[in-house]
Amino acid sequence: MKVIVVIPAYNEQARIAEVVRQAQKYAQIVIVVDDCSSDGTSLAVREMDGNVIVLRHKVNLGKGSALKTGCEAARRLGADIIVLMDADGQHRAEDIPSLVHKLEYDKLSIVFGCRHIGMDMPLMMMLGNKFLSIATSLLFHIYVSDTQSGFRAFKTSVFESIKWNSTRYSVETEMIANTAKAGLAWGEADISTIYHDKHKGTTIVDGIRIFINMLVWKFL
Amino acid sequence: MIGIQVLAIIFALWMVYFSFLHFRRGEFTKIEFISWQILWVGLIAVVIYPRSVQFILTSFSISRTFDLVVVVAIVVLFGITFRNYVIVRRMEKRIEAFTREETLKTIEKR
Repeated sequence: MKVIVVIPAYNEQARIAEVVRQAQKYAQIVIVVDDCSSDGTSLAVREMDGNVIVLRHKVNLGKGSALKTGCEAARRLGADIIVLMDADGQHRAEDIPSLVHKLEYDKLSIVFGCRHIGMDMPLMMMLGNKFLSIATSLLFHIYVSDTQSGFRAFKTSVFESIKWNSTRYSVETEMIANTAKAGLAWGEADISTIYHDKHKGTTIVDGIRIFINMLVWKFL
Repeated sequence: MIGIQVLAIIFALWMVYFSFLHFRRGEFTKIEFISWQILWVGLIAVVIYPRSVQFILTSFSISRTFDLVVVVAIVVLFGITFRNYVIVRRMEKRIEAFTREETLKTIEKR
């Protein structure tokens, strides 16, 4: 099984090299999609040894677009399984095997990495996440306990079915909605998370946008 | 003639000049230029002769010419906003497709 890890990155010069170094241990190829960072994100990875491919958007398009570019590249490189991971170091590469294992042995199409909802998660993120999980369940009849986790793995064969149009932070939720619409076999795997920066990632405004988008996907 | 009429005429004349400039720079086609000129000259005519649109006021039960101008302006603004939205979305999609295509070409070169 050819496992390719896709990491969308934007201004992650400080952490990206370590994230890639860890991911390399568990994947045949690691693709970093630099979404037009203004720091040295690309340079930090470009000089690394091993199977690392750096792709750079000339215009900042957002996480969703960077993921789409990375997944398309992974497909062209013959990936059987694509693992998506964040570039800020909040995901542990050690969890990749458990995601892949669950995907293969439970015969699933997609596995969502779910963070432990506990005291280490910022309060607003915890409440927002819970709200979006319930909303996803009501609208699409699929309950994923952590809708906003960007750590997930899926078989390349289902990429077309779950392909998203969102360019920014709605991408994770749209992927879940598309999984439900396509009737794919899915599962969850526990992942550990380290919060380096509590002010990064999905904001309340993003959460509201995601919810409005969910209504659009459902009713329009 | 009251102050607001004078202001409206100055504004419309200013826009006539701007439309002409855009036409001279080749940014407007002849049709666009003529359309905008008709709009601004029409506005000047209505400002100077408010009673010329009395038949429209009667048909739509609008009491004053000023109200008609406001209603038409709002409709035009909504139309322009919608058109701008469509154009921006189209441009975003094209930029995204182009950028992603260019990025993926680097994979094929390897």
